[in-house]
Amino acid sequence: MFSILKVFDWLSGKMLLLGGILLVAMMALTCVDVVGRMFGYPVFGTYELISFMAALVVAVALPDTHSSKMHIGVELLTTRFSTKTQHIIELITDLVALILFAVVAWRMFLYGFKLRQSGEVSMNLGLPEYMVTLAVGFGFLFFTVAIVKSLVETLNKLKKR
Amino acid sequence: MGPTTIGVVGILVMILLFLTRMPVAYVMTLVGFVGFSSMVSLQGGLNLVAKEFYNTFSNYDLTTIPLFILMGQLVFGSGISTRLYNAAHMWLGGVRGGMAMATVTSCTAFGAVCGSSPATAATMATVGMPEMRRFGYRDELSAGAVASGGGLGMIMPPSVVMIVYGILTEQSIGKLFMAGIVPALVVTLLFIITIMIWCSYAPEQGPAGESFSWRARFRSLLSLGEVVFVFGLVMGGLFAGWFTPTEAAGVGVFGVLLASLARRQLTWRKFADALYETLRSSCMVMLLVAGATVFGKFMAITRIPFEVASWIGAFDLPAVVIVAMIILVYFIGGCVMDALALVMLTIPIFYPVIQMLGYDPIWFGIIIVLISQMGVITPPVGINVYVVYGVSRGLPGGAVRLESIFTGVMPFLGAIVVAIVLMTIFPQIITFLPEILY
Repeated sequence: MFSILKVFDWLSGKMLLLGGILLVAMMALTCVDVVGRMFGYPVFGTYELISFMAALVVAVALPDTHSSKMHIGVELLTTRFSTKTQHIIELITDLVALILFAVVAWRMFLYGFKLRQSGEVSMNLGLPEYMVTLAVGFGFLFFTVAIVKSLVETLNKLKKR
Repeated sequence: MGPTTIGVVGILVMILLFLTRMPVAYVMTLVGFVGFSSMVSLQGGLNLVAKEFYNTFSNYDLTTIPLFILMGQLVFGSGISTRLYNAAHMWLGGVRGGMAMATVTSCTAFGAVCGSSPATAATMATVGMPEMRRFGYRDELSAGAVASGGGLGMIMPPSVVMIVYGILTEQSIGKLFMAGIVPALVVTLLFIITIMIWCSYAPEQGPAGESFSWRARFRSLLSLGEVVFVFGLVMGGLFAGWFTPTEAAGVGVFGVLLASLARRQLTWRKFADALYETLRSSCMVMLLVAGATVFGKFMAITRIPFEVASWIGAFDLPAVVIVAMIILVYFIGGCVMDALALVMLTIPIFYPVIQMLGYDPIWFGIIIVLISQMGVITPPVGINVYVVYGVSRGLPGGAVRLESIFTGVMPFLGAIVVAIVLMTIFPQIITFLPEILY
Protein backbone atom coordinates (compact mmCIF):
# COMPACT_ATOMS: atom_id res chain seq x y z
CA MET A 1 0.00 0.00 0.00
CA PHE A 2 2.75 2.42 0.98
CA SER A 3 4.73 1.95 -2.18
CA ILE A 4 1.62 2.70 -4.20
CA LEU A 5 1.16 5.90 -2.24
CA LYS A 6 4.78 6.80 -2.89
CA VAL A 7 4.28 6.35 -6.61
CA PHE A 8 1.23 8.56 -6.26
CA ASP A 9 3.22 11.28 -4.50
CA TRP A 10 5.84 11.17 -7.23
CA LEU A 11 3.16 11.33 -9.88
CA SER A 12 1.26 14.23 -8.33
CA GLY A 13 4.57 16.11 -8.10
CA LYS A 14 5.17 15.53 -11.79
CA MET A 15 1.62 16.62 -12.58
CA LEU A 16 2.24 19.85 -10.73
CA LEU A 17 5.40 20.38 -12.75
CA LEU A 18 3.40 19.90 -15.93
CA GLY A 19 0.91 22.46 -14.65
CA GLY A 20 3.71 24.95 -14.07
CA ILE A 21 4.98 24.48 -17.60
CA LEU A 22 1.46 24.96 -18.93
CA LEU A 23 1.05 28.18 -16.94
CA VAL A 24 4.22 29.60 -18.45
CA ALA A 25 3.07 28.47 -21.89
CA MET A 26 -0.28 30.22 -21.38
CA MET A 27 1.49 33.44 -20.49
CA ALA A 28 3.89 33.17 -23.42
CA LEU A 29 1.16 32.37 -25.92
CA THR A 30 -1.05 35.32 -24.90
CA CYS A 31 1.91 37.69 -25.10
CA VAL A 32 2.98 36.46 -28.52
CA ASP A 33 -0.62 36.71 -29.70
CA VAL A 34 -1.10 40.27 -28.38
CA VAL A 35 2.19 41.52 -29.80
CA GLY A 36 1.65 39.63 -33.04
CA ARG A 37 -1.80 41.12 -33.45
CA MET A 38 -0.37 44.63 -33.22
CA PHE A 39 1.76 43.84 -36.23
CA GLY A 40 -1.05 42.08 -38.01
CA TYR A 41 0.02 38.51 -37.22
CA PRO A 42 -2.19 37.13 -34.46
CA VAL A 43 -1.60 33.51 -33.47
CA PHE A 44 -4.43 31.53 -35.00
CA GLY A 45 -6.47 29.54 -32.48
CA THR A 46 -5.04 31.17 -29.33
CA TYR A 47 -8.50 31.31 -27.75
CA GLU A 48 -8.93 27.53 -27.95
CA LEU A 49 -5.39 26.69 -26.94
CA ILE A 50 -5.62 28.92 -23.87
CA SER A 51 -8.94 27.35 -22.84
CA PHE A 52 -7.55 23.84 -23.25
CA MET A 53 -4.39 24.64 -21.33
CA ALA A 54 -6.39 26.27 -18.53
CA ALA A 55 -8.55 23.15 -18.20
CA LEU A 56 -5.40 21.03 -17.95
CA VAL A 57 -3.83 23.43 -15.42
CA VAL A 58 -6.75 22.94 -13.06
CA ALA A 59 -6.99 19.20 -13.71
CA VAL A 60 -3.34 18.44 -12.93
CA ALA A 61 -3.50 20.46 -9.70
CA LEU A 62 -6.56 18.59 -8.36
CA PRO A 63 -4.75 15.85 -6.36
CA ASP A 64 -2.12 18.11 -4.80
CA THR A 65 -4.66 20.79 -3.89
CA HIS A 66 -6.65 18.23 -1.93
CA SER A 67 -3.56 16.73 -0.28
CA SER A 68 -2.24 20.11 0.83
CA LYS A 69 -5.70 20.95 2.26
CA MET A 70 -6.02 24.16 0.26
CA HIS A 71 -9.79 23.97 -0.05
CA ILE A 72 -11.74 26.36 2.11
CA GLY A 73 -14.00 24.93 4.78
CA VAL A 74 -16.03 26.41 7.61
CA GLU A 75 -14.13 25.86 10.87
CA LEU A 76 -16.86 27.03 13.14
CA LEU A 77 -17.97 23.89 14.91
CA THR A 78 -15.40 21.14 14.35
CA THR A 79 -12.57 22.90 16.20
CA ARG A 80 -14.59 22.57 19.42
CA PHE A 81 -14.65 18.77 19.20
CA SER A 82 -11.99 16.37 20.47
CA THR A 83 -9.30 15.35 18.01
CA LYS A 84 -10.81 11.89 17.77
CA THR A 85 -14.26 13.20 16.88
CA GLN A 86 -12.65 15.53 14.33
CA HIS A 87 -10.88 12.58 12.71
CA ILE A 88 -14.09 10.57 12.56
CA ILE A 89 -15.95 13.48 10.95
CA GLU A 90 -13.09 13.87 8.49
CA LEU A 91 -13.28 10.16 7.68
CA ILE A 92 -16.98 10.43 6.85
CA THR A 93 -16.72 13.63 4.79
CA ASP A 94 -13.73 12.24 2.89
CA LEU A 95 -15.70 9.11 2.13
CA VAL A 96 -18.59 11.19 0.78
CA ALA A 97 -16.14 13.29 -1.26
CA LEU A 98 -14.55 10.09 -2.60
CA ILE A 99 -17.88 8.81 -3.91
CA LEU A 100 -18.81 12.21 -5.32
CA PHE A 101 -15.61 12.75 -7.26
CA ALA A 102 -15.39 9.13 -8.38
CA VAL A 103 -18.76 9.80 -10.01
CA VAL A 104 -17.43 13.03 -11.56
CA ALA A 105 -14.35 11.17 -12.90
CA TRP A 106 -16.49 8.39 -14.34
CA ARG A 107 -18.88 10.83 -16.03
CA MET A 108 -15.96 12.92 -17.31
CA PHE A 109 -14.57 9.86 -19.12
CA LEU A 110 -18.02 9.07 -20.53
CA TYR A 111 -18.37 12.69 -21.63
CA GLY A 112 -14.99 12.45 -23.35
CA PHE A 113 -15.95 9.25 -25.16
CA LYS A 114 -19.21 10.84 -26.23
CA LEU A 115 -17.33 13.82 -27.68
CA ARG A 116 -15.03 11.43 -29.53
CA GLN A 117 -17.92 9.48 -30.98
CA SER A 118 -19.63 12.60 -32.20
CA GLY A 119 -16.33 13.47 -33.89
CA GLU A 120 -16.48 17.00 -32.55
CA VAL A 121 -13.36 19.09 -33.14
CA SER A 122 -12.44 22.58 -31.97
CA MET A 123 -13.68 25.48 -34.03
CA ASN A 124 -10.50 27.00 -35.43
CA LEU A 125 -7.68 24.51 -35.24
CA GLY A 126 -9.78 21.37 -35.61
CA LEU A 127 -8.20 19.83 -32.51
CA PRO A 128 -9.94 16.81 -31.00
CA GLU A 129 -11.39 18.29 -27.83
CA TYR A 130 -12.21 14.88 -26.34
CA MET A 131 -8.52 14.41 -25.54
CA VAL A 132 -8.64 17.37 -23.16
CA THR A 133 -11.85 16.06 -21.63
CA LEU A 134 -10.25 12.65 -21.07
CA ALA A 135 -7.19 14.32 -19.55
CA VAL A 136 -9.47 16.20 -17.16
CA GLY A 137 -11.06 12.82 -16.39
CA PHE A 138 -7.62 11.50 -15.44
CA GLY A 139 -7.14 14.55 -13.24
CA PHE A 140 -10.31 13.64 -11.36
CA LEU A 141 -9.21 10.00 -11.17
CA PHE A 142 -5.99 11.03 -9.44
CA PHE A 143 -8.01 13.39 -7.30
CA THR A 144 -9.95 10.38 -5.97
CA VAL A 145 -6.64 8.63 -5.27
CA ALA A 146 -5.61 11.71 -3.26
CA ILE A 147 -8.81 11.40 -1.26
CA VAL A 148 -8.10 7.69 -0.63
CA LYS A 149 -4.65 8.70 0.57
CA SER A 150 -6.03 11.18 3.07
CA LEU A 151 -8.56 8.54 4.19
CA VAL A 152 -5.71 6.12 4.93
CA GLU A 153 -3.81 8.82 6.78
CA THR A 154 -6.80 9.70 8.94
CA LEU A 155 -7.37 6.00 9.67
CA ASN A 156 -3.76 5.65 10.78
CA LYS A 157 -4.11 8.66 13.07
CA LEU A 158 -7.19 7.08 14.63
CA LYS A 159 -5.42 3.75 15.12
CA LYS A 160 -2.42 5.34 16.81
CA ARG A 161 -4.54 6.80 19.58
CA MET B 1 -42.54 18.08 -2.27
CA GLY B 2 -42.72 21.15 -4.47
CA PRO B 3 -39.62 22.53 -6.14
CA THR B 4 -39.28 25.36 -3.64
CA THR B 5 -39.47 22.97 -0.68
CA ILE B 6 -36.75 20.78 -2.17
CA GLY B 7 -34.66 23.90 -2.67
CA VAL B 8 -35.09 24.98 0.95
CA VAL B 9 -34.22 21.46 2.16
CA GLY B 10 -31.15 21.59 -0.10
CA ILE B 11 -30.00 24.87 1.41
CA LEU B 12 -30.48 23.56 4.95
CA VAL B 13 -28.57 20.34 4.19
CA MET B 14 -25.81 22.45 2.69
CA ILE B 15 -25.49 24.58 5.82
CA LEU B 16 -25.36 21.43 7.97
CA LEU B 17 -22.64 19.96 5.76
CA PHE B 18 -20.63 23.20 5.96
CA LEU B 19 -20.43 22.68 9.72
CA THR B 20 -18.54 19.39 9.23
CA ARG B 21 -15.67 21.42 7.73
CA MET B 22 -16.12 19.60 4.44
CA PRO B 23 -14.67 21.93 1.78
CA VAL B 24 -17.27 24.44 0.56
CA ALA B 25 -16.61 23.50 -3.06
CA TYR B 26 -17.32 19.82 -2.41
CA VAL B 27 -20.51 20.57 -0.48
CA MET B 28 -21.92 22.81 -3.20
CA THR B 29 -21.21 20.17 -5.84
CA LEU B 30 -22.76 17.43 -3.73
CA VAL B 31 -25.93 19.32 -2.83
CA GLY B 32 -26.30 20.68 -6.36
CA PHE B 33 -25.86 17.23 -7.90
CA VAL B 34 -28.19 15.38 -5.51
CA GLY B 35 -30.77 18.16 -5.62
CA PHE B 36 -30.73 18.39 -9.41
CA SER B 37 -30.94 14.61 -9.78
CA SER B 38 -33.86 14.36 -7.39
CA MET B 39 -35.82 16.99 -9.31
CA VAL B 40 -34.94 16.08 -12.88
CA SER B 41 -33.47 12.57 -13.10
CA LEU B 42 -30.35 10.75 -12.04
CA GLN B 43 -29.21 10.62 -15.64
CA GLY B 44 -29.70 14.38 -15.94
CA GLY B 45 -27.71 15.01 -12.77
CA LEU B 46 -24.88 12.71 -13.88
CA ASN B 47 -24.62 14.47 -17.21
CA LEU B 48 -24.78 17.85 -15.51
CA VAL B 49 -21.76 17.40 -13.20
CA ALA B 50 -19.32 16.27 -15.90
CA LYS B 51 -20.44 18.92 -18.35
CA GLU B 52 -20.45 21.82 -15.87
CA PHE B 53 -17.06 20.88 -14.46
CA TYR B 54 -15.50 20.62 -17.89
CA ASN B 55 -17.11 23.83 -19.14
CA THR B 56 -15.96 25.75 -16.06
CA PHE B 57 -12.40 24.48 -16.32
CA SER B 58 -12.16 25.32 -20.02
CA ASN B 59 -13.99 28.67 -19.78
CA TYR B 60 -11.80 31.23 -21.54
CA ASP B 61 -12.90 34.14 -19.32
CA LEU B 62 -11.98 32.25 -16.18
CA THR B 63 -8.42 31.67 -17.42
CA THR B 64 -7.78 35.19 -16.11
CA ILE B 65 -7.79 33.80 -12.60
CA PRO B 66 -4.66 31.60 -12.65
CA LEU B 67 -2.78 34.31 -14.53
CA PHE B 68 -3.65 37.13 -12.13
CA ILE B 69 -2.86 34.88 -9.16
CA LEU B 70 0.51 34.13 -10.74
CA MET B 71 1.15 37.84 -11.15
CA GLY B 72 0.69 38.43 -7.42
CA GLN B 73 2.84 35.44 -6.53
CA LEU B 74 5.66 36.67 -8.74
CA VAL B 75 5.49 40.17 -7.25
CA PHE B 76 5.90 38.60 -3.83
CA GLY B 77 8.61 36.15 -4.90
CA SER B 78 10.70 38.85 -6.54
CA GLY B 79 10.71 41.13 -3.51
CA ILE B 80 8.77 43.94 -5.19
CA SER B 81 6.36 43.86 -2.25
CA THR B 82 9.21 44.64 0.18
CA ARG B 83 10.24 47.67 -1.86
CA LEU B 84 6.65 48.88 -1.96
CA TYR B 85 6.52 48.72 1.79
CA ASN B 86 9.83 50.50 2.23
CA ALA B 87 8.75 53.37 0.01
CA ALA B 88 5.47 53.80 1.91
CA HIS B 89 7.41 53.65 5.17
CA MET B 90 9.69 56.50 4.11
CA TRP B 91 6.74 58.75 3.38
CA LEU B 92 4.54 57.94 6.33
CA GLY B 93 6.78 56.38 9.00
CA GLY B 94 7.51 59.67 10.81
CA VAL B 95 4.04 60.30 12.21
CA ARG B 96 2.19 58.45 14.95
CA GLY B 97 0.85 55.18 13.56
CA GLY B 98 2.65 56.01 10.34
CA MET B 99 3.91 52.51 9.73
CA ALA B 100 0.40 51.14 9.97
CA MET B 101 -0.61 53.76 7.41
CA ALA B 102 2.30 52.67 5.28
CA THR B 103 1.06 49.10 5.58
CA VAL B 104 -2.45 49.82 4.34
CA THR B 105 -1.10 52.03 1.55
CA SER B 106 1.25 49.33 0.36
CA CYS B 107 -1.61 46.83 0.57
CA THR B 108 -3.44 48.97 -1.97
CA ALA B 109 -0.36 49.22 -4.16
CA PHE B 110 0.20 45.49 -3.92
CA GLY B 111 -3.49 44.92 -4.66
CA ALA B 112 -2.95 46.75 -7.93
CA VAL B 113 -0.98 43.75 -9.13
CA CYS B 114 -2.62 41.00 -7.09
CA GLY B 115 -6.16 39.71 -7.25
CA SER B 116 -6.62 38.04 -3.92
CA SER B 117 -7.27 39.32 -0.43
CA PRO B 118 -5.66 36.57 1.69
CA ALA B 119 -2.60 36.71 -0.57
CA THR B 120 -2.29 40.44 0.06
CA ALA B 121 -2.72 39.95 3.80
CA ALA B 122 -0.13 37.16 3.86
CA THR B 123 2.36 39.18 1.84
CA MET B 124 2.04 42.34 3.89
CA ALA B 125 2.07 40.38 7.16
CA THR B 126 5.40 38.88 6.11
CA VAL B 127 6.83 42.21 5.04
CA GLY B 128 5.25 44.71 7.41
CA MET B 129 4.67 43.02 10.76
CA PRO B 130 8.34 42.44 11.68
CA GLU B 131 9.09 46.09 10.90
CA MET B 132 6.19 47.37 12.98
CA ARG B 133 7.26 45.16 15.86
CA ARG B 134 10.78 46.52 15.63
CA PHE B 135 9.40 50.03 16.15
CA GLY B 136 7.34 49.01 19.18
CA TYR B 137 3.90 48.87 17.60
CA ARG B 138 1.28 46.97 19.54
CA ASP B 139 -0.10 43.80 17.98
CA GLU B 140 -3.65 45.15 17.84
CA LEU B 141 -2.73 47.96 15.46
CA SER B 142 -0.13 46.14 13.40
CA ALA B 143 -2.08 42.89 12.91
CA GLY B 144 -5.36 44.76 12.51
CA ALA B 145 -3.87 46.95 9.79
CA VAL B 146 -2.41 43.97 7.93
CA ALA B 147 -5.56 41.85 8.11
CA SER B 148 -7.88 44.70 7.09
CA GLY B 149 -5.45 46.05 4.52
CA GLY B 150 -5.52 42.64 2.87
CA GLY B 151 -9.09 43.42 1.89
CA LEU B 152 -7.82 46.35 -0.14
CA GLY B 153 -6.02 43.86 -2.34
CA MET B 154 -9.44 42.61 -3.37
CA ILE B 155 -11.07 46.02 -3.88
CA MET B 156 -8.16 47.35 -5.93
CA PRO B 157 -8.33 45.76 -9.39
CA PRO B 158 -7.46 43.19 -10.66
CA SER B 159 -9.68 41.22 -8.33
CA VAL B 160 -10.80 37.60 -8.40
CA VAL B 161 -14.21 38.42 -6.86
CA MET B 162 -14.85 41.01 -9.59
CA ILE B 163 -13.91 38.54 -12.33
CA VAL B 164 -16.26 35.93 -10.94
CA TYR B 165 -19.04 38.48 -10.41
CA GLY B 166 -18.59 39.77 -13.94
CA ILE B 167 -18.85 36.29 -15.42
CA LEU B 168 -21.85 35.25 -13.34
CA THR B 169 -23.80 38.42 -14.14
CA GLU B 170 -22.45 38.97 -17.67
CA GLN B 171 -21.02 42.39 -16.83
CA SER B 172 -17.86 43.78 -18.40
CA ILE B 173 -14.86 42.82 -16.27
CA GLY B 174 -12.94 45.81 -17.60
CA LYS B 175 -15.71 48.14 -16.41
CA LEU B 176 -15.75 46.50 -12.98
CA PHE B 177 -11.99 46.94 -12.71
CA MET B 178 -12.26 50.63 -13.58
CA ALA B 179 -15.08 51.06 -11.08
CA GLY B 180 -12.96 49.56 -8.29
CA ILE B 181 -10.08 52.02 -8.43
CA VAL B 182 -11.65 55.06 -6.73
CA PRO B 183 -13.45 53.06 -4.01
CA ALA B 184 -10.14 51.35 -3.19
CA LEU B 185 -8.49 54.74 -2.77
CA VAL B 186 -11.41 56.02 -0.68
CA VAL B 187 -11.16 53.01 1.64
CA THR B 188 -7.39 53.45 1.90
CA LEU B 189 -7.92 57.06 2.94
CA LEU B 190 -10.58 56.08 5.47
CA PHE B 191 -8.20 53.46 6.91
CA ILE B 192 -5.49 56.10 7.28
CA ILE B 193 -7.92 58.43 9.04
CA THR B 194 -8.95 55.53 11.29
CA ILE B 195 -5.33 54.93 12.27
CA MET B 196 -4.85 58.66 12.94
CA ILE B 197 -7.86 58.80 15.24
CA TRP B 198 -6.94 55.53 16.95
CA CYS B 199 -3.37 56.64 17.63
CA SER B 200 -4.46 59.98 19.01
CA TYR B 201 -6.54 58.14 21.62
CA ALA B 202 -4.03 55.36 22.21
CA PRO B 203 -0.56 56.66 21.29
CA GLU B 204 1.11 53.54 22.71
CA GLN B 205 -0.35 51.49 19.85
CA GLY B 206 1.82 53.12 17.21
CA PRO B 207 4.70 55.36 18.32
CA ALA B 208 6.13 57.74 15.74
CA GLY B 209 9.15 56.39 13.92
CA GLU B 210 12.10 58.05 12.26
CA SER B 211 11.63 60.71 9.60
CA PHE B 212 13.32 60.57 6.25
CA SER B 213 14.62 63.40 4.09
CA TRP B 214 12.56 64.48 1.10
CA ARG B 215 15.43 63.38 -1.09
CA ALA B 216 15.26 59.82 0.23
CA ARG B 217 11.51 59.87 -0.06
CA PHE B 218 11.52 60.81 -3.71
CA ARG B 219 14.28 58.36 -4.44
CA SER B 220 12.17 55.58 -2.89
CA LEU B 221 9.51 56.29 -5.48
CA LEU B 222 11.83 54.99 -8.16
CA SER B 223 11.41 51.49 -6.75
CA LEU B 224 7.70 51.71 -7.51
CA GLY B 225 8.50 51.80 -11.19
CA GLU B 226 7.57 48.26 -12.06
CA VAL B 227 4.30 48.30 -10.16
CA VAL B 228 3.23 51.50 -11.91
CA PHE B 229 4.42 50.04 -15.21
CA VAL B 230 2.57 46.74 -14.85
CA PHE B 231 -0.62 48.30 -13.46
CA GLY B 232 -0.57 50.91 -16.22
CA LEU B 233 -0.01 48.24 -18.84
CA VAL B 234 -2.82 45.99 -17.59
CA MET B 235 -5.44 48.68 -16.93
CA GLY B 236 -4.38 50.90 -19.82
CA GLY B 237 -4.43 48.02 -22.26
CA LEU B 238 -7.83 46.89 -21.02
CA PHE B 239 -9.21 50.41 -21.29
CA ALA B 240 -7.72 51.09 -24.70
CA GLY B 241 -9.22 47.85 -25.94
CA TRP B 242 -5.86 46.33 -26.85
CA PHE B 243 -6.70 43.15 -25.05
CA THR B 244 -9.24 41.07 -23.14
CA PRO B 245 -8.88 40.59 -19.36
CA THR B 246 -7.21 37.21 -19.97
CA GLU B 247 -4.69 38.74 -22.31
CA ALA B 248 -4.14 41.62 -19.88
CA ALA B 249 -3.32 39.07 -17.20
CA GLY B 250 -0.90 37.24 -19.52
CA VAL B 251 0.84 40.47 -20.43
CA GLY B 252 0.91 41.53 -16.77
CA VAL B 253 2.61 38.29 -15.72
CA PHE B 254 5.14 38.78 -18.46
CA GLY B 255 5.73 42.38 -17.34
CA VAL B 256 6.38 41.35 -13.73
CA LEU B 257 8.64 38.55 -14.89
CA LEU B 258 10.61 40.93 -17.08
CA ALA B 259 10.94 43.52 -14.30
CA SER B 260 12.11 41.00 -11.73
CA LEU B 261 14.58 39.44 -14.16
CA ALA B 262 15.95 42.90 -14.96
CA ARG B 263 16.55 43.48 -11.26
CA ARG B 264 17.93 39.94 -10.94
CA GLN B 265 15.72 39.23 -7.97
CA LEU B 266 13.96 36.07 -9.00
CA THR B 267 15.64 32.74 -8.37
CA TRP B 268 14.52 29.48 -9.98
CA ARG B 269 13.41 28.26 -6.58
CA LYS B 270 11.17 31.28 -6.00
CA PHE B 271 9.83 31.08 -9.54
CA ALA B 272 8.88 27.42 -9.07
CA ASP B 273 7.30 28.19 -5.69
CA ALA B 274 5.23 30.96 -7.27
CA LEU B 275 4.04 28.56 -9.99
CA TYR B 276 3.07 25.81 -7.53
CA GLU B 277 1.32 28.20 -5.17
CA THR B 278 -0.59 29.58 -8.16
CA LEU B 279 -1.65 26.11 -9.27
CA ARG B 280 -3.04 25.26 -5.84
CA SER B 281 -4.86 28.58 -5.39
CA SER B 282 -6.31 28.47 -8.90
CA CYS B 283 -7.46 24.89 -8.48
CA MET B 284 -9.14 25.87 -5.22
CA VAL B 285 -10.90 28.83 -6.86
CA MET B 286 -11.92 26.92 -9.98
CA LEU B 287 -13.38 24.04 -8.01
CA LEU B 288 -15.33 26.60 -6.03
CA VAL B 289 -16.65 28.16 -9.24
CA ALA B 290 -17.55 24.74 -10.67
CA GLY B 291 -19.31 23.73 -7.46
CA ALA B 292 -21.22 27.01 -7.40
CA THR B 293 -22.26 26.48 -11.03
CA VAL B 294 -23.66 23.03 -10.28
CA PHE B 295 -25.40 24.41 -7.20
CA GLY B 296 -26.69 27.35 -9.25
CA LYS B 297 -28.30 25.00 -11.79
CA PHE B 298 -30.10 23.28 -8.94
CA MET B 299 -31.22 26.63 -7.48
CA ALA B 300 -32.46 27.77 -10.88
CA ILE B 301 -34.87 24.84 -11.26
CA THR B 302 -36.14 25.20 -7.67
CA ARG B 303 -37.22 28.73 -8.65
CA ILE B 304 -35.99 29.97 -5.26
CA PRO B 305 -34.17 33.01 -6.72
CA PHE B 306 -37.38 34.00 -8.47
CA GLU B 307 -39.48 33.42 -5.36
CA VAL B 308 -37.13 35.47 -3.21
CA ALA B 309 -37.16 38.31 -5.72
CA SER B 310 -40.94 38.42 -5.93
CA TRP B 311 -41.28 37.96 -2.17
CA ILE B 312 -39.03 40.94 -1.50
CA GLY B 313 -40.78 42.88 -4.26
CA ALA B 314 -44.15 42.26 -2.64
CA PHE B 315 -43.01 44.03 0.53
CA ASP B 316 -43.18 47.31 -1.30
CA LEU B 317 -40.33 48.71 0.78
CA PRO B 318 -38.12 51.55 -0.41
CA ALA B 319 -35.25 50.22 -2.54
CA VAL B 320 -32.65 51.48 -0.07
CA VAL B 321 -34.13 49.38 2.72
CA ILE B 322 -34.04 46.26 0.54
CA VAL B 323 -30.43 46.93 -0.40
CA ALA B 324 -29.63 47.45 3.27
CA MET B 325 -31.24 44.09 4.03
CA ILE B 326 -29.20 42.39 1.33
CA ILE B 327 -26.04 44.01 2.68
CA LEU B 328 -26.93 42.73 6.14
CA VAL B 329 -27.36 39.20 4.79
CA TYR B 330 -23.93 39.39 3.18
CA PHE B 331 -22.44 40.72 6.36
CA ILE B 332 -23.84 37.87 8.44
CA GLY B 333 -22.95 35.33 5.74
CA GLY B 334 -19.45 36.78 5.55
CA CYS B 335 -18.98 36.05 9.24
CA VAL B 336 -19.19 32.32 8.67
CA MET B 337 -18.12 31.88 5.05
CA ASP B 338 -15.36 32.69 2.64
CA ALA B 339 -16.02 35.82 0.58
CA LEU B 340 -15.71 34.26 -2.85
CA ALA B 341 -17.80 31.23 -1.96
CA LEU B 342 -20.48 33.48 -0.50
CA VAL B 343 -20.62 35.70 -3.58
CA MET B 344 -20.96 32.72 -5.89
CA LEU B 345 -23.60 31.13 -3.71
CA THR B 346 -25.79 34.20 -3.40
CA ILE B 347 -25.46 36.00 -6.73
CA PRO B 348 -28.05 33.79 -8.43
CA ILE B 349 -30.48 34.70 -5.64
CA PHE B 350 -29.80 38.42 -5.11
CA TYR B 351 -28.79 39.60 -8.55
CA PRO B 352 -32.36 39.40 -9.96
CA VAL B 353 -33.57 41.46 -6.99
CA ILE B 354 -30.99 44.17 -7.64
CA GLN B 355 -31.91 44.23 -11.31
CA MET B 356 -35.59 44.45 -10.47
CA LEU B 357 -34.91 47.44 -8.22
CA GLY B 358 -33.11 49.15 -11.08
CA TYR B 359 -29.68 49.44 -9.48
CA ASP B 360 -26.53 49.64 -11.56
CA PRO B 361 -25.02 46.10 -11.72
CA ILE B 362 -21.51 47.58 -11.72
CA TRP B 363 -22.28 49.56 -8.56
CA PHE B 364 -23.65 46.45 -6.87
CA GLY B 365 -20.58 44.45 -7.88
CA ILE B 366 -18.26 46.87 -6.13
CA ILE B 367 -20.53 47.07 -3.07
CA ILE B 368 -20.44 43.26 -2.90
CA VAL B 369 -16.66 43.32 -3.01
CA LEU B 370 -16.62 45.89 -0.19
CA ILE B 371 -18.98 43.84 1.93
CA SER B 372 -17.12 40.62 1.31
CA GLN B 373 -14.03 42.42 2.58
CA MET B 374 -15.79 42.93 5.86
CA GLY B 375 -16.46 39.21 5.79
CA VAL B 376 -12.78 38.30 5.60
CA ILE B 377 -12.01 40.09 8.88
CA THR B 378 -15.10 39.46 11.00
CA PRO B 379 -15.12 36.71 13.61
CA PRO B 380 -15.52 33.78 13.79
CA VAL B 381 -14.44 32.91 10.23
CA GLY B 382 -12.33 35.83 9.07
CA ILE B 383 -9.92 34.20 6.67
CA ASN B 384 -7.49 37.15 6.69
CA VAL B 385 -7.29 37.05 10.45
CA TYR B 386 -6.26 33.39 10.32
CA VAL B 387 -3.82 34.10 7.53
CA VAL B 388 -2.16 36.86 9.56
CA TYR B 389 -2.17 34.61 12.61
CA GLY B 390 -0.60 31.81 10.57
CA VAL B 391 2.10 34.06 9.15
CA SER B 392 2.85 35.61 12.55
CA ARG B 393 3.72 32.19 13.99
CA GLY B 394 6.79 32.14 11.80
CA LEU B 395 7.90 35.70 12.60
CA PRO B 396 10.47 36.89 15.15
CA GLY B 397 8.63 37.63 18.39
CA GLY B 398 6.19 34.76 17.94
CA ALA B 399 2.51 34.49 17.23
CA VAL B 400 0.02 37.29 17.72
CA ARG B 401 -2.94 36.34 19.87
CA LEU B 402 -6.07 35.77 17.80
CA GLU B 403 -8.08 38.02 20.12
CA SER B 404 -5.62 40.86 19.52
CA ILE B 405 -6.16 40.61 15.77
CA PHE B 406 -9.93 40.51 16.10
CA THR B 407 -9.79 43.54 18.42
CA GLY B 408 -7.46 45.24 15.99
CA VAL B 409 -9.73 44.89 12.97
CA MET B 410 -12.76 46.46 14.70
CA PRO B 411 -11.90 50.12 13.97
CA PHE B 412 -11.21 49.22 10.34
CA LEU B 413 -14.54 47.42 10.15
CA GLY B 414 -16.14 50.71 11.13
CA ALA B 415 -14.26 52.44 8.33
CA ILE B 416 -15.60 49.97 5.75
CA VAL B 417 -19.15 50.53 7.02
CA VAL B 418 -18.62 54.27 6.54
CA ALA B 419 -17.33 53.58 3.02
CA ILE B 420 -20.37 51.47 2.12
CA VAL B 421 -22.81 54.07 3.45
CA LEU B 422 -20.89 56.78 1.58
CA MET B 423 -21.00 54.86 -1.68
CA THR B 424 -24.68 54.05 -1.30
CA ILE B 425 -25.51 57.73 -0.84
CA PHE B 426 -23.09 58.78 -3.59
CA PRO B 427 -23.03 55.91 -6.09
CA GLN B 428 -21.08 58.25 -8.40
CA ILE B 429 -17.92 57.43 -6.42
CA ILE B 430 -18.13 54.01 -8.07
CA THR B 431 -19.80 54.74 -11.38
CA PHE B 432 -18.21 57.96 -12.58
CA LEU B 433 -14.87 56.52 -13.72
CA PRO B 434 -16.27 53.69 -15.87
CA GLU B 435 -18.85 56.12 -17.26
CA ILE B 436 -16.18 58.58 -18.36
CA LEU B 437 -13.92 55.91 -19.78
CA TYR B 438 -16.46 53.73 -21.54
